Amino acid sequence: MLAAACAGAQTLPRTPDGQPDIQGMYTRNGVVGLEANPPENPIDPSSKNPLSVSNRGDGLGPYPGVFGQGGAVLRSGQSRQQRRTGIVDPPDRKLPWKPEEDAKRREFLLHMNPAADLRHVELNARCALPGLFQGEDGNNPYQFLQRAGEVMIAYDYNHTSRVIHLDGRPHVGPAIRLFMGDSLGRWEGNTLVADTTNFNGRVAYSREIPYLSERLHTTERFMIADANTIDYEVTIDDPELFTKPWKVAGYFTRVPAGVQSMEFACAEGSQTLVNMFGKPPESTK
Amino acid sequence: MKMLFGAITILACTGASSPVSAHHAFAAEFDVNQPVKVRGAVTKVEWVNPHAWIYVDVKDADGKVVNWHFELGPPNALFRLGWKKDAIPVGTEVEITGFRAKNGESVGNGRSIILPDGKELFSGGSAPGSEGGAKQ
Amino acid sequence: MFLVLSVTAGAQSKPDFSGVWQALNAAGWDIQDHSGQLGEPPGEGVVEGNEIPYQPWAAAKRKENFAKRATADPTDANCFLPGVPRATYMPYPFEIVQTPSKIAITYEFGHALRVIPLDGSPHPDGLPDAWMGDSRGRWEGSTLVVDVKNFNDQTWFDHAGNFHSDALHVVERYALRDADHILYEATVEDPKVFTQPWKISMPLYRRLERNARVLEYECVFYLQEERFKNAPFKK
Repeated sequence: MLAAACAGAQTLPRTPDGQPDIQGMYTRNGVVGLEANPPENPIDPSSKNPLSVSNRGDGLGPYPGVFGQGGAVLRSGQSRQQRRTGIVDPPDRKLPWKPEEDAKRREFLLHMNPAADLRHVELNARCALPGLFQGEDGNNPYQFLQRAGEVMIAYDYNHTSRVIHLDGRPHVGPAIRLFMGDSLGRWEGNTLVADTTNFNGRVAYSREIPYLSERLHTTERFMIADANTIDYEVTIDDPELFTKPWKVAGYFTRVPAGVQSMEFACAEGSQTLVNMFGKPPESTK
Repeated sequence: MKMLFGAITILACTGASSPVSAHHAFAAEFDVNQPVKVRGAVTKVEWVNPHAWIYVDVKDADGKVVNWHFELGPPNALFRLGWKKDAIPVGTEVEITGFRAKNGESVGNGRSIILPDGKELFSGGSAPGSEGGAKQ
Repeated sequence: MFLVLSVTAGAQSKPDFSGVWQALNAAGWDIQDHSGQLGEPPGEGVVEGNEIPYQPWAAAKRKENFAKRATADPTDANCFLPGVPRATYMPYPFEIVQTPSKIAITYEFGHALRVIPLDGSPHPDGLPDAWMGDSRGRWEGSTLVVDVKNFNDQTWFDHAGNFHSDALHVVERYALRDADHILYEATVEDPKVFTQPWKISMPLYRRLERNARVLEYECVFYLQEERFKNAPFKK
């Protein structure tokens, strides 16, 4: 069966420099999933939680319903998939937290709603670069571009992009810290393997894991499953917070023809910090 | 054709949240203990990400006019469903329900928008008159 | 002197603009001739003819913008996206990733990003106004021509208050002078603000450092750290 799964890959086109050609526009699914015994999510709590704005049990979302439906256009024509998503290793989803770091993380969450200070504001709400895991995947596509020596992933969400360098260069030096990290990659058959370091400690995995540390080191595998699908798996190795690495899965699926990439300017239209905290002194905005 | 290289199929479970909630800490930004409902004429619509804004002139009890603004969802989603930037003409009378911002200003999230004829704006699906919206 | 050409399958040779580039001038502060002042370097202008043909009301508005530029410049004061062509001559590098069907430009300042289709598709109808506009590219011989429309009215062309409306239309031309230099031109037209189109031009220089790359200048984040460091604020 594995041979059948790979059969399509043998006939995939190649770029002029010989990479398997994965270029195009995709939706992303999965990636962010719940661990076992998760803490209560303070940002979007369940309807049982009196702090919830979105899930009040009255059937209404925070905004009129149509705003959640544009993502269906991105997915129209995609066949329904049963693919690996969320935390896949450990299989029981009990993440290998260092107990003191898990305790610190749970304490941190308690101060995010209301946000005690700027540091406790969810990174997405600040329009920070989303790192490798976040992004409003429901509504926003991803574009893959390839040329000799690099693969670029361009997100609609917050006009984010990352370049995975394939030219054998070394990582940047340790004094340079990045939201998106510094990515070096290589092709192994039909799998793009990307090694990323130099994160800046301001990278959230999910609502329940609001930060990963500067020692985060990821290994991603973009595995071409067929002409329209890339399976994705990332190993999250953060020795500051966890006793061993864990793995997350997701997948990318091509969007139908005619879907437009659109600008998603974030900070320019955001009033979030002012709505939370009030206007800063001597501010023009 | 079933793919076998993943022996376990796990669908991501992120709780009862709609895609629009993924971005944004609205629970930390808006106060469930301060529900609001206002009526007035639309003065401006900002068709921006991450959230569109609708501005409304509201007469308070003393007859004074206060301009409120309400946060909506991301407008890129609407474009894909055939809504264009003129979706809410300035001057439209609306009734908006939501929750007030935690900073206590005349700001809220726009949970529902009702037109004078009782119809709900953006209740779902494609824009009226658009050809082929989302195939759900 | 060599031109860098890439041979793409099934297509005639086109120059390859891929790489990390940067402008080397003072246009980000003022696109016209200007003297130095504290914190702002002097520069000879990049505007052909050195005059910007404002309509009379707009010339007055530009003077107002200049007077309050310290707080009113959307990019310098608020870290907002710089628009086109200002993104090209901000004093930060950008990377061009060129493929046969699309060209992406990622700018170090504020991770601004443009993806430019080369497939001949038209600007989509009814797009929300964009800070960086909507770009469509085509080849005229060896020159890359990028047509940019669908702007909002929020960006400035420089820190000196030169501005536009949402009717802005920019046509960029990128030509390789040699392997390490692009001759860049942008023709600006905006019938709501100017009496006629006008043009800027400048060389762009390839960043020749080994393993040159674009890093992150997350202006918005840094500004938040400063403005909200004592949050929450009492009413």
